[in-house]
Amino acid sequence: MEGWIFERMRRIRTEIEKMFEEFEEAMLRPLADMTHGYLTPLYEVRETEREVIVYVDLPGVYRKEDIDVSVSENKLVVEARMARPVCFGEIPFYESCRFERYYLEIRLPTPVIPERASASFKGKVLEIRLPKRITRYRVKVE
Amino acid sequence: MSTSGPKKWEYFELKPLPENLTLIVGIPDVGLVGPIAVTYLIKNLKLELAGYVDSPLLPPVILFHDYQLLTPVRVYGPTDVGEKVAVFFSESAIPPSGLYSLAQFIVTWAASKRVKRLVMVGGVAVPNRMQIEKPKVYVATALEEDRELAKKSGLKLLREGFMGGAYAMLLKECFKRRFPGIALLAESHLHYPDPGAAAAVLEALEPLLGIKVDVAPLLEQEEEIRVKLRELMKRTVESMRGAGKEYEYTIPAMYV
Repeated sequence: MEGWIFERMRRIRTEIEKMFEEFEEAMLRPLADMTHGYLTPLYEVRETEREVIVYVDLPGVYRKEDIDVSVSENKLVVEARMARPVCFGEIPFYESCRFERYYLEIRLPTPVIPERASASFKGKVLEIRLPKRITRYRVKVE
Repeated sequence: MSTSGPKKWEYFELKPLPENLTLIVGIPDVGLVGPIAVTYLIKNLKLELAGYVDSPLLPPVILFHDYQLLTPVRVYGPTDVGEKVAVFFSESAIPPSGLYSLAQFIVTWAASKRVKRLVMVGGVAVPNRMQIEKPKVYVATALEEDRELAKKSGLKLLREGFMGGAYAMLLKECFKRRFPGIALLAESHLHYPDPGAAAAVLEALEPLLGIKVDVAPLLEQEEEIRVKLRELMKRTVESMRGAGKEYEYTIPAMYV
């Protein structure tokens, strides 16, 4: 019995530590990938009772045809091409780098139904609506 | 000059400021509206570096511009004696633990420099910003006389609701010390740099203070600003946790 509890606590602690590591890594990681020459866009995830809604800021992207969105049950990937390459001047970290596209890959907070996802692009913000995969059970109130 | 108590914030003067100035404050917050607006104003009015502010509460960073070392929190003053505007500007996000003492410092310092009024420029996050072509600007004031000034200018006064963050602390400090202070808050994105909202607050300076700013070049640069300020936006969103911003969606108990 005790062994079972300790094992469960160990798993929870490992999960929490992993979340903190991911968060710290995301904070320290630049919003650009020099190796592959892409920028990471800013994004926001909102949840309603039935949907996960992801907003992605894509300044510099002019046409919806330049945006690719792919969704699986737990993951969203957005790729977009900018109309003009962006340079960040003489800042050493960015020097000699030109960026022409965005790439974003995020883990979704809850499973979704990929085939029912929809997307729109307005004011350089991409809105992706993802219906949640919800299994409901009616609970009898005694 | 420093505030009383421990030296949390200090001002280092490079050039004296004339008296009776309007001090426009731009501190990173929702949509980075303040920093975008005041950096544009500094260039537009050709303001000059007048001094800088330092504190152990700031992130341990400096920056370089055109080979010149700069500290993140700076004051810009007029080059022309006729000009009556100065700018207080932070280029780095202020940690929530520093907001209260920074507000105390700014108001004490402004009073010592015989500043006429503080005008804070910033944003108020709205969820439907994407659908808004021209953001509305709300005015929040500390004193009755400022409310009257805002009413005459035809701007919309903030009537009810919580306000959080750096400007809330500044208005509170203005209120406590009976120092004139006005916050201009444009409807803004929360998580993305918002030059459109910055243009809206700059345009509001004309009816309020008679300062006319041509915002067309700022709007032309909108996309470039949005791309280049992504990192600062990320740091700012992180620093907004615990800064009281979440209260802005809360209905005050008194008005239920």
